[in-house]
Amino acid sequence: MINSIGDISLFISFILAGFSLFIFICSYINKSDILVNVAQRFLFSSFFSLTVSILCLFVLLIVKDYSNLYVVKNVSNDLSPLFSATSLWAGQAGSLLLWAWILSLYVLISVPKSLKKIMPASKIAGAFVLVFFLYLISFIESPFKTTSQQITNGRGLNPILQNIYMSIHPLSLYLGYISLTIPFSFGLGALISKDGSSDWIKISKKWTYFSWTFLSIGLLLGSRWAYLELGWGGYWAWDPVENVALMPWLLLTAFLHSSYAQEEKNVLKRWNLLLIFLAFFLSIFGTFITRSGLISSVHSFAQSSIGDYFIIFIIFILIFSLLFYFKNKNSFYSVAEIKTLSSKENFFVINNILFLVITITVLLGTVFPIISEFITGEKILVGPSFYNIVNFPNILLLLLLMSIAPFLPWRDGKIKPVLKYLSVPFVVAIIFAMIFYSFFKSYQLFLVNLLCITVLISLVKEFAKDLILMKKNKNILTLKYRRYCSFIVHVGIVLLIMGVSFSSYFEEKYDLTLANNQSKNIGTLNVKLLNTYKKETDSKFILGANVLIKNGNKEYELNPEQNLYKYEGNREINKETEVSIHSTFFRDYYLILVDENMDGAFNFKIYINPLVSLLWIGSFISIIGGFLSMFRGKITND
Amino acid sequence: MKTRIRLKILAFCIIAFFSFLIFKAVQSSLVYYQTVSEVLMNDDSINSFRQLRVMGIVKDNSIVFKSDGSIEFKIEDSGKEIFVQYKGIIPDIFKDGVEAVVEGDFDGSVFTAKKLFAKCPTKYEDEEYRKELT
Repeated sequence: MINSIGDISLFISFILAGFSLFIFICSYINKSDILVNVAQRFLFSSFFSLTVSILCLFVLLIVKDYSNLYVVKNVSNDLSPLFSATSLWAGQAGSLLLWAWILSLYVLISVPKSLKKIMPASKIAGAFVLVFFLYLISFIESPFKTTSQQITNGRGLNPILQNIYMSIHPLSLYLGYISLTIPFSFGLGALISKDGSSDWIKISKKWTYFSWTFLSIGLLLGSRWAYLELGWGGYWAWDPVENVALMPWLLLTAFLHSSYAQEEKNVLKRWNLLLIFLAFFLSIFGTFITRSGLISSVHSFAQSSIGDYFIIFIIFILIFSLLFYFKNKNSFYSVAEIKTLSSKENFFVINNILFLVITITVLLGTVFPIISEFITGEKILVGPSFYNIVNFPNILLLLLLMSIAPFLPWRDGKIKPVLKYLSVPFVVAIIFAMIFYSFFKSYQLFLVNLLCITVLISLVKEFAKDLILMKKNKNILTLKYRRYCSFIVHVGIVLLIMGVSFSSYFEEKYDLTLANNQSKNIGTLNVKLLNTYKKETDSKFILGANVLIKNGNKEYELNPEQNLYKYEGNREINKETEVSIHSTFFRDYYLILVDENMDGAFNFKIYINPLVSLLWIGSFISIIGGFLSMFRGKITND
Repeated sequence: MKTRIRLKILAFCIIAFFSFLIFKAVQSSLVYYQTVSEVLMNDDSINSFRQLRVMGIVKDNSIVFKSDGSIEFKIEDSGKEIFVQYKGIIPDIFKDGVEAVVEGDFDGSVFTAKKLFAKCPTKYEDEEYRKELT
């Protein structure tokens, strides 16, 4: 019953969205405002109908109705209500339904009221993308397929995915990915309507900040999950699935800078159009890669037929937007003249080039097996060292820009006053970097630290300067709200870079075999196995250990576990390692219980990761900065 | 106008530098992705200087846990098999019959793996299971 309601309302939603798209096209041709309103109502009805549909799936998952195939595949009797609910986006069909629902909400509320000029055209673009997704779930990958067999238990959710980070992570990435559609539709709308002003940039701003923030949260949660759950001590592996999520983020970051230049100085008009198009394509391309099975990843997604539809969709959108770009690009001509090389605009251009280089590097690394197989017939991959070799100098250059560009004026900048301004932070940074060098002895790390600390101190210096000025002019921080949001993000990114550098250069790994009550020294640490225990619950056997790690006079007790599930069901795995981590600011102690030896001793692995905390703290600060940017309009009205 | 030209030169230099770097980085980080039978068909001389990534099914009852924490097992594919030695983190999903990917060097008889992956179960679809049900 509920299943049929969901299925029918999904179909109705597709039909209504189709009508809406058709009427938007009519209103564009006839330049009719009334038709726009009619189309908007159809869009609303479509959204309403889709909401009914997604609620139906939600109910089916919660009550565990095993007559629905999607429920069978993603839920099981022992699955908690929370994870049953989040199974909505655990499978292909459900996640596409959620995708369509979020998209329809975005397209519905993205009304550029002040901008009648680009209104129907940008809505056409948005509605078109929506219709594509609704078509996919209505006819190709429906979540409402049923089975006639009597099924009493479903496949359930893999235990390593039963983690709170992993249940929010896809949702956050979706929110970010999908909201890229809106700036894309504004850009395309402006292009189709030959509106060469920077209005589309202004109304896109909130969407792009929103998108950036949620993509960041998604990436952060994903790497946090990998760190806690996968048991290899790392947070990033340059896996194709990770890469495709990173690429739109990189381009969006570039866009945030270059669109700022257009907003302030009316430059880079064409470039911004191309950039937002590219970011949107890469987000769709990423979805295509992860779901078509084209590239083998450690996160394997089995082959599915929807890849072909995505490829057709991408090619269609690509041709369509390029066609309009070459037809109308003359309306987008930047007249502003930039006087000197060291102006903010030019630094943004360099920034964009560097971000584009990283994106291309990541893209090339991701599709390398396909290209090589096509050319040589052999499947060849590039290892993680590829990304590290190329990205290291790139990050250094970006840090260099980051230390200079915030203090450069627009148009007619001179580098000397900025260098003078940076001299004190630079000298302080040298001292700090030397101190770090005496501990870590790596010239690469020295360079990273030198630049990172220069950026940090210069930003703090600027902030202190403004605090003093505040005595005269109380509004100064409000006036510079946007500037300070970007500073917060920069501070976070710099801390993140430092965390990544320290933890990847100086990770220590040890293998350890301990019997009960035995203790061993590794480096300055003393590791003692206090006791082990075996427990049995309804679903699993647990082997656990209590381990005491002493470092100087500090003591930490860790409790790693090894779970063996009693029934495999359709989980495909029955073993689960529970890593135990003790995090301090300076280092993480990361302990894994591998197994029990024949002779009753236990094998452990211990990783000591220095300053990983900076990575999480930095990401968190950046995300706060992103959130604050979103609320800018209300405070300063700019 | 002069500024524009300077900017273009600068941009060109950056792009040229990174193109060169990408080229070099690709060369130094190539990993050949092959199946078991393909690896066995290669000349030993080719295998000896290549970093290999080999995919195969873990042969039933072939996994041996050594006392030093390392493991030995065989992966097979269309009737051929390779003997693998590995020391390091063993993925939870690694066991008999799963699809495993090993990365390392092959000397003609023993594959010394530096990395071991097993296919992660975030599967969106499972065709066989679907067939079973419908």
